[in-house]
Amino acid sequence: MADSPLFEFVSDRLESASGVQLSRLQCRGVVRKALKTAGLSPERVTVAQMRVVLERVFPETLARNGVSPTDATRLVSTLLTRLDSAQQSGRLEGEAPEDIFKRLDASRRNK
Amino acid sequence: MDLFTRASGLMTLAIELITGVRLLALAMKTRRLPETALGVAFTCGAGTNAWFLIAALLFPEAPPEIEIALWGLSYLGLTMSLYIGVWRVFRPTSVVVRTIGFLLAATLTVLLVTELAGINRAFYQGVWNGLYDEVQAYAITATMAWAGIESALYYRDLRRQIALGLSENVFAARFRLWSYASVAWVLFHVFLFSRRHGLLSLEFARPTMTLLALIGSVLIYVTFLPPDWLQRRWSSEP
Repeated sequence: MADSPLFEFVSDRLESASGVQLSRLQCRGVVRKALKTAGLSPERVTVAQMRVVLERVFPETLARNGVSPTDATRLVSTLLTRLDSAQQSGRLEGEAPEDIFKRLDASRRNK
Repeated sequence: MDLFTRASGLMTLAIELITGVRLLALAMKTRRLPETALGVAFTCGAGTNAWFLIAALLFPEAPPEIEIALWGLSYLGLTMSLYIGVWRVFRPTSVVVRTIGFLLAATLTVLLVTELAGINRAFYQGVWNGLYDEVQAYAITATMAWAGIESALYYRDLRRQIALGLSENVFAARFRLWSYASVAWVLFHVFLFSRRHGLLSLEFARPTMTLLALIGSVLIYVTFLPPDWLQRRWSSEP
């Protein structure tokens, strides 16, 4: 299954921000593992969900992959900043399965 | 048909129709594929019941070919729109799912057209009800089972998301109900299949299938259009 542009974006930015510490394959694996821990999939993660994962799950996942706590904090901070600026373009937003329920509920409330 | 079967059949039809029409009304506003496909699926689901009921109640002498044609088209619409709905909701980027969908649509369309034209009847006469019926039954059962598995898996994912404050109980409960509804519909088709192959008596199969269809449609209704009190109850659950 094709991964979402958001997953690709975060994996790519992690690779460039980590320098030589993590390979491309490792970066994708780390992001995938962090999403799985949060019950999310790389195909349909939204920006809001990714932000929570980066803040709350990512430091621990990076640590498990041999990244020091100081470097992990720096990487998370860099990724959050880049996510914020990329979000302005609106190209990264995915759709979660429950969005159909949200639209239905909103339409019922507006009646 | 006894009173229970007729009343349950009419209730199932009405519930499916309400759910389908509400989703289609939403689709008119949003122009999005998930609600369009699922709206068509539930409306066609009502159609598969409706043709039998209308024929039985109003036109008992109608030629069977007309009933078969309407039933075949409804089932084709139900299967393909449900498939598209599940694909767009759960696996929107999957190339494999999209390819299987194209193959399934092409196969069912060819089988239905040849069935209606009487071309493929020579191959199965006296063996099955019809090749289209047979393949169609497998296709819809597999699609409903797939919807159930995806809902159950996503329910599990949502439990993890809730622990991180990424989602709410009200959505997890709805995916859980969707998986239960799929179980009821899969069982309905297993019974239908068994009955068709003479493995079950009509006296046992008909009321059981009617009940399963009613349970499935009520669960789907509550999944998509839950009453406010139920939403409040789900929200307050830990």
